[in-house]
Amino acid sequence: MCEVEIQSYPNLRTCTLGFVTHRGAAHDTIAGSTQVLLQTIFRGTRNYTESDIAKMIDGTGGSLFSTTEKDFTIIGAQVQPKYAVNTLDLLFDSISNPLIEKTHFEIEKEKLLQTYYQVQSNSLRRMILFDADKAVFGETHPLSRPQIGTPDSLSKLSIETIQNTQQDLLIKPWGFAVGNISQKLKTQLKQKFQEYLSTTESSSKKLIPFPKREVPSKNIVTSLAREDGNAYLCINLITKSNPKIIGLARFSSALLGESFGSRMFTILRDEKSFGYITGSTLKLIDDSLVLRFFMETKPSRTEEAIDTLTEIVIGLSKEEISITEYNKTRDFLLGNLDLSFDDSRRIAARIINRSVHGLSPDIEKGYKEIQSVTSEDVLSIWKTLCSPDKFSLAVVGNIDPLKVQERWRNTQIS
Amino acid sequence: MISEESETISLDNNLNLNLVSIPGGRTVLFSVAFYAGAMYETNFGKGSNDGISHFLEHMFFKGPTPSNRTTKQLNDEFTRLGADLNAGTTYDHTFYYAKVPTRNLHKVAELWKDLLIKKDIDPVEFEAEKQVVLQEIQLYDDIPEFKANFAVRKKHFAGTPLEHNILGTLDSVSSITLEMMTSYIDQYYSFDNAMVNIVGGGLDLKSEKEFLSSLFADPITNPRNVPIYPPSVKMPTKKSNISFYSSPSPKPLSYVSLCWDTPGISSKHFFPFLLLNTFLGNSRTSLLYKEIISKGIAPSCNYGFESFNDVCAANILFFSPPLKTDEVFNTVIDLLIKFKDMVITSDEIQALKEEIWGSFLADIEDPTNYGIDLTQKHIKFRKLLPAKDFNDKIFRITPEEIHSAKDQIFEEMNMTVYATGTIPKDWEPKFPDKGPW
Repeated sequence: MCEVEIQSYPNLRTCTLGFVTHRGAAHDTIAGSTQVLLQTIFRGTRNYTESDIAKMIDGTGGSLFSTTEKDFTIIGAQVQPKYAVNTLDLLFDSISNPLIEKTHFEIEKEKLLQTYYQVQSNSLRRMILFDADKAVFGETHPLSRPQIGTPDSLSKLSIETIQNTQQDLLIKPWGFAVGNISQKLKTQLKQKFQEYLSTTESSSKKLIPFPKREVPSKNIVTSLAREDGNAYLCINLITKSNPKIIGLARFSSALLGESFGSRMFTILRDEKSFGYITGSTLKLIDDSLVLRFFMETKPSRTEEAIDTLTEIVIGLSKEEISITEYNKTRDFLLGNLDLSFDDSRRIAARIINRSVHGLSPDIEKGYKEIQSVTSEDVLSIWKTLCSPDKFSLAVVGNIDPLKVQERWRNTQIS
Repeated sequence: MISEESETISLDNNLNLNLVSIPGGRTVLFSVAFYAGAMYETNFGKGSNDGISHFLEHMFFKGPTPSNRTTKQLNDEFTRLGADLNAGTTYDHTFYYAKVPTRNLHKVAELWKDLLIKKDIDPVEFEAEKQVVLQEIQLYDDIPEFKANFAVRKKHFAGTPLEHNILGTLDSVSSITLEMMTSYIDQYYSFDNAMVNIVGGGLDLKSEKEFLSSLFADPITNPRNVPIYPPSVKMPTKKSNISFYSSPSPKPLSYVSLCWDTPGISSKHFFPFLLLNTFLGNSRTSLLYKEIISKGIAPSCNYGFESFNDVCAANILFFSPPLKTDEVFNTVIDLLIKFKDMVITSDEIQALKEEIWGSFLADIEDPTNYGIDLTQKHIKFRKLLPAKDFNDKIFRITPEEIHSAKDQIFEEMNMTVYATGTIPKDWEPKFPDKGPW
């Protein structure tokens, strides 16, 4: 059966559409394969040259995008609605009939290698893109591999690997279209999606499940970057995902670090002036939910930062949230949800993220989900979450790794 | 095409508010900008206030306010309104915005009123936030792309108001005092030096006009009645010239930024220049993409420009493996020479116009981008420039104007090059004789 999600928002000016597949970067047999492939597919397909693609999309003010997450991949475009049908044809040709020429493959592989060095050379980028997942899943777990690969993996990458990866994109992809979509356009797109996706149904390949996560309690990854003036740290909390816990975790993330009124912003920035960067995110990866709490500090204050951030995070398991703080967080999330309807690409991202992880694609349901969270639920869930096996830490910067490791090991999480 | 309505409110206390209603949206952007930025800062060395505009941007959302709101209360109130709160400092203005669900417009407007007339700065918060600003300076200094772009502009525009680094330096920000900041606020943060843009969905212009006129009628800031125009950027007499600077750092790649000046807003070549920008970089249709990125000469090669009344600052930034620095640099220079002699056909010009317009429409879908675009154009052109008027100007450009603008840019070209990261030993950019240098 073909799956297509089309949602119309007549107040918008654009339409974002494309395909999603459950094949992500962590399925790469050689890290970086999916990313190289995605950079190659817009270089020309059986029916469209690179120049055709540029004229069709960029030339009309649109934009192509491809996203390699660890557990899924998106190939899409944001265009004016009048170009949506032709764009869909181009996008499907990109995943089903890319040319993958040797020259393009080599160029894109080299670009990725340089991008790797670019990320590696900055502590903040390195922590977000490389080290945080290593801390959560362990150095060698597929979910820890950088989407962009490593110098070693990229050197092993061949055009055949990329061609195999391309076949994986056709394992049960599904389609989405969001934005200013009239009834007539909706019918046209639906028909086109069905036509395209029916040709992928015969793919019998199956994706191999990821191995079990095996890391020590309170795992820590430290990277020394002597040349950088700041240090960055990220406390991660991982747990099994389910719809109930996702709502509670999002509420907790907002309360702790997503706004100017959050505990992290108040304490880390306003009260203790640790640094400019502070925040929290929630990410669904495979069947897990990962909360990240990150901050910037002077290297000389790294150990103090570890203590302070840990105290803030585990503080949620110690006492019930006051009515004022509960109301503030709930209203922030409700308002924030309104804000996510402002452009077609953002709406599409939200729909995809929900759908891929087994939630309803109806993002309007988010309002009810937020309102159903209670202060008692949050306290209760945090009491179960605050266990050392769920926590890990990544620290990057001009630090003393041994001292940092010792401080983290001595930190009480319970 | 989505049709929007707009309305301007001009109050007796010199405050002007522009309202734009977009049918159907759920959110509204309330943005405020002051004609105050790095260009307005004073010279360097002792008594310099280099970086004060950006430091003040950090202090803007802090208490105490005239209604006795503390920083914590302000943060909590914005949070409760679901606000996407942000700010930015540029060379010629500093802007602040909060995007909220439209139902919260009145509440957020009341907060803005409190902030707009705020004069006091808490000394403890001032010193605490200074540490955050110093950390931010360090953050950008650790990112070679930013370091190269800041440095190249500073060198290229040495001796002009564009010499200032928007963030300031660790030294300059450390020496900014509370008195300096209070004086800066007195000088620049007044109603007649501000513009307010309210852009969003589902606004009833008539009733909002009534509400906002009444809300903002009372407060008076020190009016000057004469807008303070940014200091002019007088470049030295043009003489084809190349300058090279470098500051190696232990990063695995080399980062090279090229900067040159082009016609400013007051020039007849300005609008044709906008079209030429699209032709040159950064989309897949552009020359830089096709010749540098697509061919794998460099993994990244970004073109950017910032416009001012007298001048536009254009720059290209690339990074590459150190051993390829020379090759990439030479390719970029050859490309600029090729660009100089290139005839752009009528069809290509028409395609550029379509691309600019399409990209603009996609960009302003989000009220945040719409409001920022409106503000920037208002600052740059010193008047509201609705999308339709801007579009008309772009679509009227003729091929002759395009080529005349191109000839002017390349007639005599001063270029500054700055390299950081790992720079090959003894590397210096070499310019061919045939170019405009």
